[in-house]
Amino acid sequence: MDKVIIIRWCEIHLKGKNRHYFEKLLEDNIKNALNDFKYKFIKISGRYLIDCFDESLSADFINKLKKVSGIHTISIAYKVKSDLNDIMNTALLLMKDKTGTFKVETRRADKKFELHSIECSRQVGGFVLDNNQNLKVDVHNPKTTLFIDVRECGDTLIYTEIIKGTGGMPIGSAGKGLLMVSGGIDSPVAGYMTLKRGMKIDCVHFHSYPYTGEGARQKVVDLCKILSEYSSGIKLHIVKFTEIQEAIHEKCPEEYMITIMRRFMFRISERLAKSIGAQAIITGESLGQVASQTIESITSSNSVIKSLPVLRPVIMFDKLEIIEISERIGTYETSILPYEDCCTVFLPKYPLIKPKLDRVIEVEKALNVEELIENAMQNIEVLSL
Amino acid sequence: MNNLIYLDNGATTKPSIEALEKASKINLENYFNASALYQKGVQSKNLLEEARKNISNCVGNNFEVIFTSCGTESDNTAIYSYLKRGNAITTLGEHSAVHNTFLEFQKNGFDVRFAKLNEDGSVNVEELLKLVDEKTTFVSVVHVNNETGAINDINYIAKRIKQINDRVIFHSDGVQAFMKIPYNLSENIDLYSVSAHKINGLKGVGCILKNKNLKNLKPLIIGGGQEGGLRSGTENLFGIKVFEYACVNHFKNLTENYNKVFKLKEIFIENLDKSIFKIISSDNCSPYIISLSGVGLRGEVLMRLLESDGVIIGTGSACSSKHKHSRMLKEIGYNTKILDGVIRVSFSYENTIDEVIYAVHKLNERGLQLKRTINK
Repeated sequence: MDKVIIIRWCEIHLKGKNRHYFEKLLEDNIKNALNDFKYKFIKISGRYLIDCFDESLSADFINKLKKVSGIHTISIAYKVKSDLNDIMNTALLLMKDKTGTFKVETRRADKKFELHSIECSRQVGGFVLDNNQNLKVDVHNPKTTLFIDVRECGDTLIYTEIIKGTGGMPIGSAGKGLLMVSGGIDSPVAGYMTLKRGMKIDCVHFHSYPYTGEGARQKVVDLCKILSEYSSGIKLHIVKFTEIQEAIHEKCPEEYMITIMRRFMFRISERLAKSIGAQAIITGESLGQVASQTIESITSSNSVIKSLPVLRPVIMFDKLEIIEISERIGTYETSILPYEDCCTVFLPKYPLIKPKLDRVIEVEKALNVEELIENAMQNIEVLSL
Repeated sequence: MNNLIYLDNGATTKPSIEALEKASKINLENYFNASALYQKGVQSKNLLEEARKNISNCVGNNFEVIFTSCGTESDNTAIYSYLKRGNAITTLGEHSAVHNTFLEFQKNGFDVRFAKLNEDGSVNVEELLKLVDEKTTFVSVVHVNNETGAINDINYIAKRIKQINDRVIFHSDGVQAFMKIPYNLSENIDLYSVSAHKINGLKGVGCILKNKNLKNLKPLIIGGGQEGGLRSGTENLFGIKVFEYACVNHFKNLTENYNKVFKLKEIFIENLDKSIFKIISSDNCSPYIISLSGVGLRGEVLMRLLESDGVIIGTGSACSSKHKHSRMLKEIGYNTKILDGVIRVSFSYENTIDEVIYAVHKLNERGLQLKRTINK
């Protein structure tokens, strides 16, 4: 018996006259994700079908499709000729191990099919009921729903499972952003949520060899690799931040280290974003989680940005909510590996919680900001993941 | 200096080329299972027994050699065999293979007692003896401490313990001592752990030296009955032969190597900038290991700086949030400023004076640079 994968989207339907653009993007992204496989791609109204594929690889297909933004749900369906007997037997096959309550929902696009939708549901439902003693019908709140889709072309698709996809919008439909990745739990989650909304991302990480080591760097590479599975590849820009940290440590009071460090990170990110055509900076900041993420601290670092929006997908999320997503997307275990992204040499004992912007600007004057940024911009390693 | 200067020999050593070459035919010619009954199998068995005999000759005939996969397995075998009743004693200066195994037993309710250390990492013998009583069944004291190189006089300690309670089984982790410092194992030593890759053998091979009079050693790994039932599993003949050749070579040159390394340690300490570094190891420690600290600096950062200069050293202080400081040095009571900056330099007989001089000068340079940066 043939199997077919049904791909459905959701928000794209809202796009009116622009639907075609989004659908085309989604189609391209799906084909990209399934690059290594052989299959036939069929467009039907409101859905895509994957046909003629090696069914032993079904799980692999689903795993890839679950990571394509814009896909709302996926189902693996049996495909049979639109013949009532075939439909009934296939329906029974699908339902033979099921227990509890069920109902049948038929959609009929083929006007040549002998039964109306309701009549079809009734007959198939009755047949299944007769042959499986462990089932009862409940049309209001069934445990299992058996879907029958009688298509125009003479085939019928039958399935019970609706697998949730990533949702969101196809990548490429929302421009490009630059994600600041620290190696912690939050920034990869922010990256995932950005990709989900259809925005492509490059990533930037600030590394301070010899104060931070290979472990911290590899952690970030691994996190970006995981994110790249939700996109078609990601570029990671690793900025050598050592000189800047040493300069701040030397010339500014200890408690300003983090505050001023973040201002430099934002400045460099803005310049880098411009040079790669990114239209926004994205961070994993979450309000009040640490000293550098109070509203005052965020104001202080944000104020150096001149011409791009800074998007903060998890700004109002609780830590637990962020962890939940992190576990779901597969970044949590890597994020908690114990490699510090900032050497304790530079961590102030009492970092500023509510820096006053004019005081920060005053303190920063001791540094040659432009020169430090220029040097850092010359010391960026780019990895394609 | 173009080649790498490797000074982390306490972690592992480079395999001896001579030993590798001499053993190389094992892989493709003598690959047969030493337990097989056909002639080729018996030949492998003979090679195995030859290794056993030659290693045994380096130790003295009171000890049997039982091959294992590593020092950790040897430690575990000893402990799991005898921690059955009464109480057991060890020190706070053990390698984690011993320490963590004892902790595991303690977690399960076994009475485990840890003896305090002296400042250089050696065990405080009087404190240790105070913990021994008539219910003590097992004592484990490391021979040479892997972090500081401190030497415990295990023959003396074992004798004193057995004077208090002659039924105690005495084990020592000899991984950092074997074929490095000159000694003989006395009859009071029941079990002794050895690791091949610390003496230019290969990783994946070690042994237990078992006192011939010791009874009831139980295997940790059960199966086909190899090693007299004490360690089942097909023997790693190639690894064991490399171990044998490396061991015999070391034995031959033990005194010469010791004197050479003693000189290296002297030169290192002489040239070390003591305004930046505090030496933790004492003069009585094994010359093969020096523990020191860049006070107020960061051990891992120093290690990276030296790596970029082509010198590899070990650290006893990691920047990782899980294992920040040396458990052992913290126990002794060193403060945070010292603990943060701990590094370990460990020699091999192959290191040269030029290498050591270069390394210590680079260490001074980088230490000063880091000190200036941190203290602005």
